[in-house]
Amino acid sequence: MKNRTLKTVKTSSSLICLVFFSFIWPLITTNFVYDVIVSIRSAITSGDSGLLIITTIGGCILYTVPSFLMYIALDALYTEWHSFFKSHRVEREFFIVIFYGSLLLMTQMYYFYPIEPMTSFIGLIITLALVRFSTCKPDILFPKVFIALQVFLLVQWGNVIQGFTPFRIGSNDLFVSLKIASSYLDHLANINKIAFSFMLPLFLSSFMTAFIIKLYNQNLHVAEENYEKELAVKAMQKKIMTNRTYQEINALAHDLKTPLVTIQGLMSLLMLTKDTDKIEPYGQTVNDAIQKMSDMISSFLYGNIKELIRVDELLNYIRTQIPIEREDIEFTNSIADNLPPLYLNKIRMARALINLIENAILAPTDQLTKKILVKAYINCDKIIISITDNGIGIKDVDLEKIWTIGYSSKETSGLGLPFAKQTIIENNGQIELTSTYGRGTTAKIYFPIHTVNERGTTHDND
Amino acid sequence: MKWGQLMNNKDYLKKLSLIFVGIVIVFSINTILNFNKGYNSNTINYPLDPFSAELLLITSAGQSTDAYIFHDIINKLQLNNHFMPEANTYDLREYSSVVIVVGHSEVGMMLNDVLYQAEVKRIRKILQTAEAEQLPVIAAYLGGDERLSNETQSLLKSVCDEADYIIMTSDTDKGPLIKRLTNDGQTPITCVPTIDQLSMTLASIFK
Repeated sequence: MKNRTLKTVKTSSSLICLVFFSFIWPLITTNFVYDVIVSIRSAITSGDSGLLIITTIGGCILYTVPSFLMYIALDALYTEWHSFFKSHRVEREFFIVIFYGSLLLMTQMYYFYPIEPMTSFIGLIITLALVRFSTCKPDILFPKVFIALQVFLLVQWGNVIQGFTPFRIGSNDLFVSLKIASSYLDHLANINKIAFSFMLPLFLSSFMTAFIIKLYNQNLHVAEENYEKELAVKAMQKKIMTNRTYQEINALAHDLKTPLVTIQGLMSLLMLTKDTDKIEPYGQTVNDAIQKMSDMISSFLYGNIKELIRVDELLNYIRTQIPIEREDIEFTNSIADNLPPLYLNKIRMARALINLIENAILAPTDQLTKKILVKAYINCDKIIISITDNGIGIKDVDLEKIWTIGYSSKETSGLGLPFAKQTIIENNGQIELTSTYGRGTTAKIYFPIHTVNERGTTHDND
Repeated sequence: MKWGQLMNNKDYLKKLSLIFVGIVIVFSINTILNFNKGYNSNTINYPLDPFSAELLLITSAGQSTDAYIFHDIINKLQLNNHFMPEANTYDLREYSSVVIVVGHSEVGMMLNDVLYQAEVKRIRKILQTAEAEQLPVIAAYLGGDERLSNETQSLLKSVCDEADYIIMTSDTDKGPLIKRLTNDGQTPITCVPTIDQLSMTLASIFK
């Protein structure tokens, strides 16, 4: 807080110094003004119109600097004291116009220096209008510097155009002397043309600058909006995935009913039996069922709980979870012999594979019988489980989108495949989906072969 | 395309408006670039009785650059002259005529380290001495409308009141001002619209 205050004081002091500097500019540049007059005299005596042109350029720059500095300093000062001015409902433009006008008035009152109030003010108004048009951020000074420099130089060139004199533009001693000398050297039309040839590009350039800054700001605004939307979409997707987890928990709760029914049945039998010899095996079976339930819950709650499981055991478990009663579906399992065991979270992986099989079931087909083939085999040091259907397949353009959360071509939630992919990756696996439109789709899941070393620790052979 | 349809076609009207705006801009630019003061040679009067140009003294009232222009014109006309922007009464002795070029310049005064009141005083003394020594005084004003500030008008009035002849540039009708400067037409005056026409006038003024 203290550092911040110190910084504000330092910046404000520098800016006030800059305002003061622009105010005393006439005092500092008095010799340059004299030089302009001396140059005009020399040009008249020698008939050198080139010298007159150089003098004109010098005069224009001499008058551009204080106007430009004053505007920039006042704008930066407002930015520095933004909160103070806002609390007093003082608008930026109002503050700048009032202070700028006051400083101009004071310069005219206290110095002999011939100022050009009309052009300075016109320059200020055009600059403020262009800055507002460009919609540049108030606290960023660079675009304003660029616009202001061009506009103030542009309007100062207006001082040397004879046609503007009736509007009190270029009516001070310096520019009047320049114009009279130009007229005498028969150079007025040329000076007008030179001024115009400076003014036109500066005019176009200042407007183009404002326009480009406006476009840039619009693009920036759109990009910011898109970024925010993207963040919102990601948050939503995360929420959806969480919901999906709850759905999977529902499925798990359903699976838990099987051991519960076993426990319930055995407990009923235990209550009825009078044969004490059966108590022990029944108790053991109840204990096994409870252990199974505990394992299922742990597996689902903690994704990192993994176990060695045979492929046929996993696929049989999955098969029991999918009751296929439709006669038009032909479900085939093909498991190669002597497959090494998989090391994974059984319950979660089962849910992932069930999602893939359900997708195969739901896939529309133009065949009389929907054929689903689940194969397990080993290839290139990988255990592969493939699920193939004879549905109509997926178009190439849609194939790229299927992993996107929420994308679905079957009016489903569009969460199944992303969930399956996430689970497979969490279990060190990879998934690949290939499809030929009109012929069917194959999902291949690659698992690393798992080995157990002599010390009993396990690792994947990737 | 029918006229009604044409009028309903916004794009067509937009293009038409842009063409019109373009024409106006081009016309305005052309007018500004070719800004020239009106000049009618019939309005220029030349003196019937020219002044002696044996040796002219050219001085300034207000220290503007206009005096340098006048001096340059006189030089080009090869008239014998001395140019002394800050001439004093003792400088008047050897001259046949005195030309006072009026035009107040703040920067010119500061550059020559002269205050306005001192300048007024100096001019007044020169005019008094010229009158005493019966030297013809020619008041010249080349500043046109642009330099006609209060200070210039005041100097102009002081000089013209005592002048034998007035030469001035003015692009607009300055009837009341001329009337005031010439004491209701008593002092002869030549008005030229632009400086480049001054040469001819000066040639006819001086023998």
